[in-house]
Amino acid sequence: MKFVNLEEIRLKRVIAELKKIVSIVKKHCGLIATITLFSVVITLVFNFFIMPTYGNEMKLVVKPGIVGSLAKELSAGSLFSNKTLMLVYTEIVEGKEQGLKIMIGILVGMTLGLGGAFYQEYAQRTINTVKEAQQYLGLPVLGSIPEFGDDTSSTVAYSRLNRIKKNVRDKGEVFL
Amino acid sequence: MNSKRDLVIQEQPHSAAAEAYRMFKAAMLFSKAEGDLKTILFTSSCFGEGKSVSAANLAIALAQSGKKTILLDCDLRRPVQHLMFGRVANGLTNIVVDELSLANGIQETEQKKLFLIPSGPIPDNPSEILGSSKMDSLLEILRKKADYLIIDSPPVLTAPDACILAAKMDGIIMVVGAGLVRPEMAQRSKEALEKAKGKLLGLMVNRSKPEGNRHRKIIR
Repeated sequence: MKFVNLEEIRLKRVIAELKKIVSIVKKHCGLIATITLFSVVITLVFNFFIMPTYGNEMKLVVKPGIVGSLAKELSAGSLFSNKTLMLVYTEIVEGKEQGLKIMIGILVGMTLGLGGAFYQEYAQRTINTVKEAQQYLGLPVLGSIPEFGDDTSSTVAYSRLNRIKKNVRDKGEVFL
Repeated sequence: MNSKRDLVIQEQPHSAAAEAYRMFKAAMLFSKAEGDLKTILFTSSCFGEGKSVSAANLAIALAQSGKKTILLDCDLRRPVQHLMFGRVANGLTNIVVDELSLANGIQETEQKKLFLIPSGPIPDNPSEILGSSKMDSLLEILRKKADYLIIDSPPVLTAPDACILAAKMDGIIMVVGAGLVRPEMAQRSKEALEKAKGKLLGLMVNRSKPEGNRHRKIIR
């Protein structure tokens, strides 16, 4: 009989896991694409329609050619009297900041999309309770081991057991 | 990673988990008349649901009640029983290919009346080994030797091994890992076992979440 190399099996398992991840991404690519697109749109909306202010500075995006006259008018007005005006050309913004923001938007969107895909795949629709197991499979539940977690003292079963132990010790009787 | 710590019924006999396993043993034995249930197969839908740990703890519970129990690791894909009991891996596959005699393949455990046959080295054709006539005769011998024969097998959806063994068993326990398996996967596993003419005794729900805070409120 030929025996298999354990390292080979481990490698096969890693490849199988990676294939599983790829299949989940493929299955939920619509969701990932939608969330990514939504994130990019939000980024663009913030970029174009909401002017950020930082303390006493205000960033304005203006088209070249009207910079001089606009600066004069704004400086004369009372609204910006205590603020430092920073005029930024649209070309500069488009070239540097906008690209970066869109990239961040795509990254955030893809991360959220992948998170959503894995959540849908694993967490959302699983059998969690005894009742659900019985309901879905139509078989009797012969036993259930509750989730004890790290702090076993916080579980229902453990607190029951402790209560019985205490009653036996204090009153010599077995009751809850 | 499975270790001796998972054998709660042996390591923490007074814990709530150990008590839950004893209750499971009682419910399982009540599900069939005594003598009708000698070979019990543990399986699940996918890996990591807790079938090996459940099989080991049930085997200990049966041995503790004075019944001679043999735990046979037929999971020739990811065997863990030898790790949990801290024994050498040589076992089933060595016996099937006549590298090891049955007497040398059966290992004693710390628990009185409990014997372990680990999987042995992982072969490249697990299904063929489990379906061989040599395996059938081995099961027959073990059935006569012990009061209970507990068999740990790979998940149903990953390999045909559990279905191959299913028809030869007196009863099958399907382990369901809460939060790990989707309803349709569990249903597919159940259907596969039924198609293989396996006698499903019932379910064992691992790491089950409470239905609500009702019980907690009663206690407080």
